[in-house]
Amino acid sequence: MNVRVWTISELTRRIREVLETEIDRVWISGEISGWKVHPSSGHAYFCLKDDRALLNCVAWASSLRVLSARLRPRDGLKVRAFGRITVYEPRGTYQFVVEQMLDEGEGALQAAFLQLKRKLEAEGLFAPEHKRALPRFPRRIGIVTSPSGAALRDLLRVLGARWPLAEALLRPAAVQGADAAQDIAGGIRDLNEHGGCDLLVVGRGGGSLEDLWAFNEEVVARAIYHSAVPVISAVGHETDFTIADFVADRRAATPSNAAELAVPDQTELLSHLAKERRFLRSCLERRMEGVRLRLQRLRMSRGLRRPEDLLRRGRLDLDRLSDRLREGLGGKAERGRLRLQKLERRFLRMEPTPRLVGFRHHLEQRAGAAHRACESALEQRRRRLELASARLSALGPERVLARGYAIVCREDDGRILRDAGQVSAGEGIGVRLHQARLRATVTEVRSATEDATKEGSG
Amino acid sequence: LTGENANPEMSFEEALARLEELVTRLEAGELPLEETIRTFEEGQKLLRACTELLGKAEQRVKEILRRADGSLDEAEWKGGDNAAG
Repeated sequence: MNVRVWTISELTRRIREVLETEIDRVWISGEISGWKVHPSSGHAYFCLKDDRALLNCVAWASSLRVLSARLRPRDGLKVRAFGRITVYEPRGTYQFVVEQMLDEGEGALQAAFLQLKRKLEAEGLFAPEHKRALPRFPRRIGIVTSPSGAALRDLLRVLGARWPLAEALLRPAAVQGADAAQDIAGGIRDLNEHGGCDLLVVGRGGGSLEDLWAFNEEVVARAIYHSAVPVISAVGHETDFTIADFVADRRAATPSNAAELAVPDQTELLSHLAKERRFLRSCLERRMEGVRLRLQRLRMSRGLRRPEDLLRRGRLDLDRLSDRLREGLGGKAERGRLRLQKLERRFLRMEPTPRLVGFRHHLEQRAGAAHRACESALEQRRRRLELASARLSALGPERVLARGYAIVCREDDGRILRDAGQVSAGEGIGVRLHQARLRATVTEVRSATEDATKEGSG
Repeated sequence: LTGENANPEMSFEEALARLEELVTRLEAGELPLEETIRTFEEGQKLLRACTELLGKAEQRVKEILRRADGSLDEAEWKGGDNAAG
């Protein structure tokens, strides 16, 4: 008999190969039972069962950490698990290694979420063109959240630190539970109705999908959509996306982040203001410096300096002329007079004695000569002065005479002749020419009109 | 803004916008001198007012409540720990 006999190991390996390759990673659904976490390894061992079968399962510690963030596994909980079958050869057992696990109820919620999302998206509630810009400096921020939640605390703390100018107006609302969605939607409407807010923040802190569910409800989505005031949604953690996030004008990852999106940071703004202040000052200083320079240039310019110069030069000229005048006239005459007085005194000191008549005569002669010399020096100056003044006054007629004109006057009374009627033939006349005088007798008197006629006919 | 400012109703945002406008005009450097000085002074005033406003501001939190007759009312918010919800 030539029959293939397998060893246990061979068969078990074969089973393992078949199971592990034929059944790839799958989603399974069942109820948890016998949930137990191994105290030292941290792996969880449990069964998933339905009404007719049972499957041994394990969740390694690494996977367990991830999935416990979303649900609290416990006996009796209906879940959907994702994983693969492995065979444990030493014991000849197979088990399901769970990588992900969702609350079965959550699975239904997920489906509802996707359905509503598709519906609202089709209606245009998420349309980018419907998103409104947030105000840069909101004065009053309406907040719809739980008054006792950490979300509100975070929100107010960051708002107060960044922008205390903004007033916060809280509309307390239940954020989980059966009535939460209606309350949140009512809160959004209340703040719109009451007025005064230029921005709304709607949200809550983190939680399970079920906890956040109110923000996935249509009534909240529509309230956000119809809000006249821009809305920031701030629901849960960074990884949570709700319908409210899609409808809101802005989605914040967390409540603190909502405050950062809502208001500017005063520290940044103050430093911006300080920069503006420095800039304003430098603008003014630059402008003033420009004006100062222009003024300076003008002050140094010839145009402004010339009149002063001219005046100063004029005054100097005047002084020099008056000095020369004093020296030229008074000074010389004075010196002459002094010389004369000295000579006179010398002369008077002379004692006229009979024995020296001849000598005295000689002295008298000499004194006379001195006197005359003095007189003539004076006379000469006087004449020069007269001449100068005569030249000045004669400048007019003299120049005319030099050009060949003559001045004619009657001899007997010296009156200047301007008219033929003033003189008759045979009378004596004086003729003044340039640098000469003539005496003459009139031989004929003829008027200018007679002259013209004669020349015209001849 | 408050105080010496010409327009007491001017919001921080308006003041900042006005300030930016003034700075732009000064930056162009084409204003007459008197206008430059006037612009500078107005800018200084706005800056002071803005800074003071921020420095003095204290966060105010109010609560909105619906009264029995259905109307809405505001009240100072007393804090969340002892509030219901």
